[in-house]
Amino acid sequence: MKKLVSMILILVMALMSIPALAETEAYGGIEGTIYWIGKMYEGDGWMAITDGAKLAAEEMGLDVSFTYPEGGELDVAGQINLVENAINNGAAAICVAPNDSNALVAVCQQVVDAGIPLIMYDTALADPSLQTCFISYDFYKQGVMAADALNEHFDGAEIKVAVINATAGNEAHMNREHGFTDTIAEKYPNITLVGEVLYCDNDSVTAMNQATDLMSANPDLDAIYACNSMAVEGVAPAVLAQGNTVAVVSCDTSDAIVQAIKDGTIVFTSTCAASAIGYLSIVAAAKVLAGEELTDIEWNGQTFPLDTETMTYDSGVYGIDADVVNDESMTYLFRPLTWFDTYEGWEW
Amino acid sequence: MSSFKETYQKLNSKPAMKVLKSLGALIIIIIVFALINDAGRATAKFLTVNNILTITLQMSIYALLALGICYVLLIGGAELSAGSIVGVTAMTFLVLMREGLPFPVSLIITIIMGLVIGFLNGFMVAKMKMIPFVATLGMQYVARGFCQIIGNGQTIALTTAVKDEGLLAAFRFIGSGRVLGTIPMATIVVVIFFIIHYIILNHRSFGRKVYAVGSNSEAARLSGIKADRIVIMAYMISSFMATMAGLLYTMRLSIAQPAGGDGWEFEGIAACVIGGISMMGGEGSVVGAIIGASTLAVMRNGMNQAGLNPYWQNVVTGLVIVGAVYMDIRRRQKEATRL
Repeated sequence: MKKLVSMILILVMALMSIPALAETEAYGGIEGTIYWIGKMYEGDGWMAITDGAKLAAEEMGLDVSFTYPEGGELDVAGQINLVENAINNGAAAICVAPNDSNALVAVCQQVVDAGIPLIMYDTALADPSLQTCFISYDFYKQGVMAADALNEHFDGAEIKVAVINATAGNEAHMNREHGFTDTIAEKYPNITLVGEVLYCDNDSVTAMNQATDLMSANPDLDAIYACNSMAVEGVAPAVLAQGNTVAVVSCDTSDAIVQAIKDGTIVFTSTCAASAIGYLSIVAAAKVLAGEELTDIEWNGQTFPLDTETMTYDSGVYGIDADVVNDESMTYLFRPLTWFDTYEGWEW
Repeated sequence: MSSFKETYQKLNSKPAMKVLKSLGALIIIIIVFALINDAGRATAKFLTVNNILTITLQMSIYALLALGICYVLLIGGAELSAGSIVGVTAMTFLVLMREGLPFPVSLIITIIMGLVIGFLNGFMVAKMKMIPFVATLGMQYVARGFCQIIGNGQTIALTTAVKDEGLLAAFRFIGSGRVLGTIPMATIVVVIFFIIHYIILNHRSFGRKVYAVGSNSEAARLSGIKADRIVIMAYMISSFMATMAGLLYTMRLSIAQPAGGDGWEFEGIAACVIGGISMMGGEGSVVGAIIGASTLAVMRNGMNQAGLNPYWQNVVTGLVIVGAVYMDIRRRQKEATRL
């Protein structure tokens, strides 16, 4: 019996190694597995980031392990576990988008101590000296752009705006909030913040109810800023139900958000080049492992510049409004997942 | 003097009294918020017909959930998967519609999915003798996982899934439309389900059996009631209502999200508990579930309008829940010592 079991096991292992033999030649002759750790595997944005990374892995013939903390972007402990697992499994390189910039510092120190290249993407680490390079995505700037867009939409008039954020304490969300509130405090004295910033706990129905209450408590409210897709997916229907009497600005993009822009409910939203972030993270890891020097990266007709001082690639933040949404050529921006169907490939 | 006390105690033990107490608490809360928000203002913003109707709209999804969870609590069980059921049924419905299946077919498949989940919950508890907390906790994860798998982790917009203009308009009407320009359609849906469940629990033998199983399942079994069947049916009714909540959620928000419904089981449980439904089973009424859901919605609406920081809102909500459960325990202790 034992002999039979061991024979079956050997057979299984042999079969499992066959795919490895049939793979394309890895870029730069890289061996080993790159561990790519995301924040969560849901939501259009993160699906697009993942798809971008998977695309790069496929094109470059790399072996990449994609994992996500179980509890999503709020699960800091789970993410730390994943990084530790990667170290223990002998990762060739580790790419991480930290759920919390401070909490991940300790485990990233372990990555560096183990001599493994560390690529940060999407969110910065509190100690930037640890990373080999960073693919940046400026959340704060999204808040600034929202404030600018709001002021432009109302032509500099005196307006009242309320803010519904998602999760207090989540770095990305807080940066988007502060980018907005700081900008209206410094640049736009004509824009007044009504009441305190509300938090919907990343729940759209809560955001919907909060928006409804804000509008009935403040009949002269002119605008609402919703800091992420979960928040705006609740705020937009609430505003639409009241006849779009209030302008909505937001961050993130999704099918629902695009529809709301077409309905005239959302005036402006901003997004990162989601697929590019994922793509760049793998390309950077590959180049480091292949012993190449990191330089500006070109992909899909766009150049992503490298700031050699901070070893940071700026993946950019892009505004989306009614014009962009009606422009088919911009689909990769506002509907990153649909765009993948039309993607024609890139040669390395 | 003593006869007054006797009468009071006699009245106090009647189930109707519990409902009246919850209703009394709700009225007091309404008055408090009316004073906070409207006193000293030229035009009221809280105590207006429109705001009250808005509150009924805001609680509609949670009320449907509470109506179903009510059954599970009455038989002494726990339902931690209700939120995930909302999510997975909402997602399934929109995915099916998006794939081109006609509305009736999509609807039936979605409802069947909800009933199957409820059946599995009930089966785990009744036949596999699992602790309800554990069984439904496991189901919470499984259903959430399927919600993410079925939708491929994406948010699906109603407009992408439903191409028929007439159907889209109908959904939007149920979600945010108002009958005669005032009464929200969603509120009417809640009222209809409330009437159905009131009849089932108070005027049907099934309802009596639910209470019997919840009070003392062994005694119920010995008196010929098929307790296992009642338990399974209770979980199936709960997940059916969660499915209804899921459908209403797609119509209110015009989307289905992979994280949709996350944590909502606690909304339903809190509503039931505040409304006087005992977590030990056998006590409480569906009227209480609605009063509890109303209390939560009134509190939130009042606190939002008063501009109370959401962190403090959570503190207040927690205190109200603890207070309601404590009062329930105190009352049970008093009753036990009186016997």
